[in-house]
Amino acid sequence: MAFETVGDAKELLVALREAGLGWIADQVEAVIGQGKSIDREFVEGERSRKRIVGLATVPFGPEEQLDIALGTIQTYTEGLHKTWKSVQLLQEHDAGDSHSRPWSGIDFVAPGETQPVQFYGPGSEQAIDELSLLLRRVRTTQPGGSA
Amino acid sequence: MEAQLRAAIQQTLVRLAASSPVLTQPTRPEKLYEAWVFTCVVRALGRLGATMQVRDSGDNAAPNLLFRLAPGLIYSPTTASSFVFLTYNGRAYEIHHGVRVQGRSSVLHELDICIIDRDEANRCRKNSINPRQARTRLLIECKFYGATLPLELGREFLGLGKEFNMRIKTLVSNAESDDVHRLVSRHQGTANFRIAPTSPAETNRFVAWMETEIKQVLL
Repeated sequence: MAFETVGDAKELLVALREAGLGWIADQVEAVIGQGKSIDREFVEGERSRKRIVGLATVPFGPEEQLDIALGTIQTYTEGLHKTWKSVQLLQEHDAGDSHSRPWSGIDFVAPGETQPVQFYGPGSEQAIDELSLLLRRVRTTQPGGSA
Repeated sequence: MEAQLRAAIQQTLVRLAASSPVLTQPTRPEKLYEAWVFTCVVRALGRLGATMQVRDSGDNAAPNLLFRLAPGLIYSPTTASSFVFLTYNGRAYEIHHGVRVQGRSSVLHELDICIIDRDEANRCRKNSINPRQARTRLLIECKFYGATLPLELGREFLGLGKEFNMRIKTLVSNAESDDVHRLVSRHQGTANFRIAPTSPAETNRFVAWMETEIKQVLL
């Protein structure tokens, strides 16, 4: 059983797919589709009227869905870029400890290739910053958001 | 959502996708995260006073650590990534990433990060064979996810854990999941969640935990 993505979350998925980032949209859809588990209390037995708590699966509400979509996009944009920067800096926490940095740099190479793959190009950081501001606007224009 | 805002998001996403090859395939963020966790392991070993040196896949000293974007075989220089040769307490080991290791059932499993006894690794390179689980000291599975971790990752990790008899076998992720945590903990595995540069406190805790655990297994 898969619950449907609705509202603004659905619009974000369309935007992701149109940008060629369908795999991120698929991941959001899979999480939303599974719904969430909640405790559900019910009464069993005609006479005893015993109260029992069972585990039920319900869909995420539209605002929760939006949080999942926005959080996922931010993780793959801001979060991932921060990870890349951290790898490039070779663990800034240990900048003075040569034991922790046995390499001069870290390269990523595709199978069968010899030249490193560039993960980010010119313009990436600016696009990430701009996207971050836009996603913040989506949050603040929601009911209950701090616009 | 306003149409104008939606259009602006759309355009920015298009620009971002075009300028960021890391986002073109879902495996690339995983590999980048794996490299970052690798640096955490090295950090823990550095704190323990281990001596480390990067070696290329042919076991020659190299300046850069090379991560291949696909799993490799330890004895195949064209498919294996580079590794870190380390000495600790007078013994030698190697930290590898993305290599295949033979599990208890003799099936090969790709391990995101592992520590292998140096003499075992040398034996493998010399005879073109894969390392055995009994000579592997640590395994780390790395998962980079946008939202919560899917339960099947927990199930997969349990299956992998059954194949390896060792103290340190852990699932490390930037995300979290109560269900996966419960499942893994119940079956003698460990899960370290919210480990990412965006969570420095959790990361420091993870590095400290690795330091303690590694001390127990690299005798």
